[in-house]
Amino acid sequence: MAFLIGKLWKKEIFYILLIFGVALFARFYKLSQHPVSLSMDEVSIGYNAYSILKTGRDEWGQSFPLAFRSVGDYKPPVNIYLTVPSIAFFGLTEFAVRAPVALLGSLSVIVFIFLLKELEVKRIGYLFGGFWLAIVAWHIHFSRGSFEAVTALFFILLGVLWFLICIRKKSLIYFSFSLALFALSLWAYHAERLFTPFFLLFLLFIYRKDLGFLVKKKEKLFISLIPFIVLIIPFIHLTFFTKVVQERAISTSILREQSLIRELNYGKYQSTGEAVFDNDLYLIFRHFLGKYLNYFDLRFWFWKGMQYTPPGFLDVGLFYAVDILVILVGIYSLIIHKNKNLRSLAIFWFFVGPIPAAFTMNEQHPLRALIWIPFFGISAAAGFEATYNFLKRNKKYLFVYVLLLLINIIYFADIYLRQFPRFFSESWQYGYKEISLYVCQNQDRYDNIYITDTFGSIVPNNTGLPGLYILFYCKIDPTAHFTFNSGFEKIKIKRMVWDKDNFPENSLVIGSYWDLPPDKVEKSMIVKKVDYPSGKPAFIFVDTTRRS
Amino acid sequence: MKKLKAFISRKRIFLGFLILAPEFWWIIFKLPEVFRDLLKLPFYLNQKIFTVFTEERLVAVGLMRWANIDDSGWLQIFSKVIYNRLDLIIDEFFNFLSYISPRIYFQAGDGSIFTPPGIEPLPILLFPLFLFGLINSIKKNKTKPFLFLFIFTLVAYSTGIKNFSFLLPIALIFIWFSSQGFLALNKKHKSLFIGLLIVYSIFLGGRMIWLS
Repeated sequence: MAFLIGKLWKKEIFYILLIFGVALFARFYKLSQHPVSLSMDEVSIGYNAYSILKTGRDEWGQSFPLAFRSVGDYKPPVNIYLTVPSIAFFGLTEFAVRAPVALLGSLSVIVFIFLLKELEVKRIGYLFGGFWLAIVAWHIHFSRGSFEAVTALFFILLGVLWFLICIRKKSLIYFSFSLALFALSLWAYHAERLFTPFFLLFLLFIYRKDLGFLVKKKEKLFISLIPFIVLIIPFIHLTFFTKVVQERAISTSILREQSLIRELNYGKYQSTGEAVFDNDLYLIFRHFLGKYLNYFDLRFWFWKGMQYTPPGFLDVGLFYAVDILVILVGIYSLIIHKNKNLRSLAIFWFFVGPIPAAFTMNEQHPLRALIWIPFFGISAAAGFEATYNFLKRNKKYLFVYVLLLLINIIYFADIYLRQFPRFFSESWQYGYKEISLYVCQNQDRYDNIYITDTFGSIVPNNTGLPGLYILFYCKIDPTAHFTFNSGFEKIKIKRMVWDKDNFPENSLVIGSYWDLPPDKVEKSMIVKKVDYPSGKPAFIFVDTTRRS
Repeated sequence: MKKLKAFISRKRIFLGFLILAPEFWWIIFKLPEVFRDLLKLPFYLNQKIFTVFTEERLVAVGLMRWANIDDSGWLQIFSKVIYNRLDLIIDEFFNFLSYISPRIYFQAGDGSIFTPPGIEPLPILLFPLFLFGLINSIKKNKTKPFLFLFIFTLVAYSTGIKNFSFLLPIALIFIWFSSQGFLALNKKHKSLFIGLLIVYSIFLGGRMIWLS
């Protein structure tokens, strides 16, 4: 660590620790309760990690897999393996599942500060840049929900940091670390699989003159490449010789989007004119372009990016609205910056950051575009650096900025902690925890348990995997589960129609409000109800033995 | 005549880009409709004023306050402090900014009869030049284009209508910024870019005719 903190003065260490404290608080405060419930992905990560811990196999019985089979695709393995020690320490709990990413998210802030320092941003700039990342809604939210994108971003940031240190110190060891971290980012999240190779090539290109020392010691260079090669070869194998990576790419690709499918000719052109002027390549390019340019929208950046509330309601942008000037000034000062490498890096990140997200379905996807965030962090740092002298001279503006930032943070906290659960709890499978816990405690009392997989507060438009939640919350022994399908002898997951299904006696039926309409189910049969945080009914538990 | 010649000589890049923009030709063929739409300006302005604080939007603000209704009194007051009409004004500010969102000009168009369907109003190749032109103009302290951009955006925003009868002046400013970005290129890149732009614009023109 001496090479990192050696030149820091004491006060600076205090500020960095303070910023780290803020980052930790923002990411760990009520971590188990917010987001409001474990998502399907989180439950899957948690149970697979538990299974690896107990048996060395995933939930399907596969021994130490490099890609975890999931519903419809394969999960990147890094988060699951990172969660294993957390589960060993905290048990199979919500906190244990979320803590590793929350910690990496907090550590990203520290890494980012040192990265800015290596990029020769001035002290006030890199401290502000770190603080900005510590409190920005975009990064906080995804750090709290065990999202793989945060892990991958951590590896990228650390990879760039080691890369810059390697150049400063002309050291092959740091070069080796850096390459290994870039390779790890490929294993961590899908967007990096497109971004990292180009980013790494670009880094090597812009710093080519400083990398001459690498070729002077060819033997050592080869040794330093070994970790990278070890990490990259299995990845190449998975990408090109198995379905693992391809399936995910296919399932999220823009080529699956209905609006594009309707336009494409699939190579069957009626005339030469059509082949030239309505060519599929142009149609795909144009479709991609729309998605790409959507990311350059100030409203998305500063006002309505996080989608915590439905359309028509107030929301939060990727960044705080008050940062609009700081970031725009920062972008400007980066583009005209005298440090050519910093300028090139910033421009590359600015244009390439949203490309992986633009290749996928959904408009303006903040998670898939998370790899873009360092550019804005660098901009915020550069912007603050550029305006600091002005703000120092005109303290009233600094005071106004701090005051508005504080209001923004309160506003974000209220939307995140109060409004978001109220509007979108069902998207986070709210209620499955209560169902699972009730089933675990009461399954001996019933011959059959029926659980719905379809629910929703306004319409039944959500489909879930209650089985996964039962595995998680009932802590079902993984060996028994993948050998005997144990834990599900009595449990049947199905879509239900109360009038037609004729559930047998001594059954517990857990359905949504739509499956078990209150006017059709006798009140005496209802043993439990679960409501969404909005107050709307979510699930109803019916005991068929109580039928009159 | 001399003045016109001098103007063309000075602004030939801008005029060249303008001629290569599909939107320019499209709007020429839609001039009667454009004028008809422009005549509705007072009506649009009047209509827009009443959309800022509509019942629906105020209800949405109220519903966000509702989240705190079960809490103690000070939280209810707090809730009113952070959710109020000021939020709607800020929302309008970002709505105002959305009129200069590059997607409308470089990809999607406005979806009305005022933009050519299936192609971008301004060739996408101009987008990077537009960004560099923007930066160059700030660097050189050129305030006039920004002032015009603000005024044109304000007019378009005030109508509440996102169509090219009102967005065209903004598109012209975008083309002007692109021309400034072009001037920053070196000679070799300039020739390469012009070649590409001409080929691409011919393709866009052909597609526009083919689709219509």
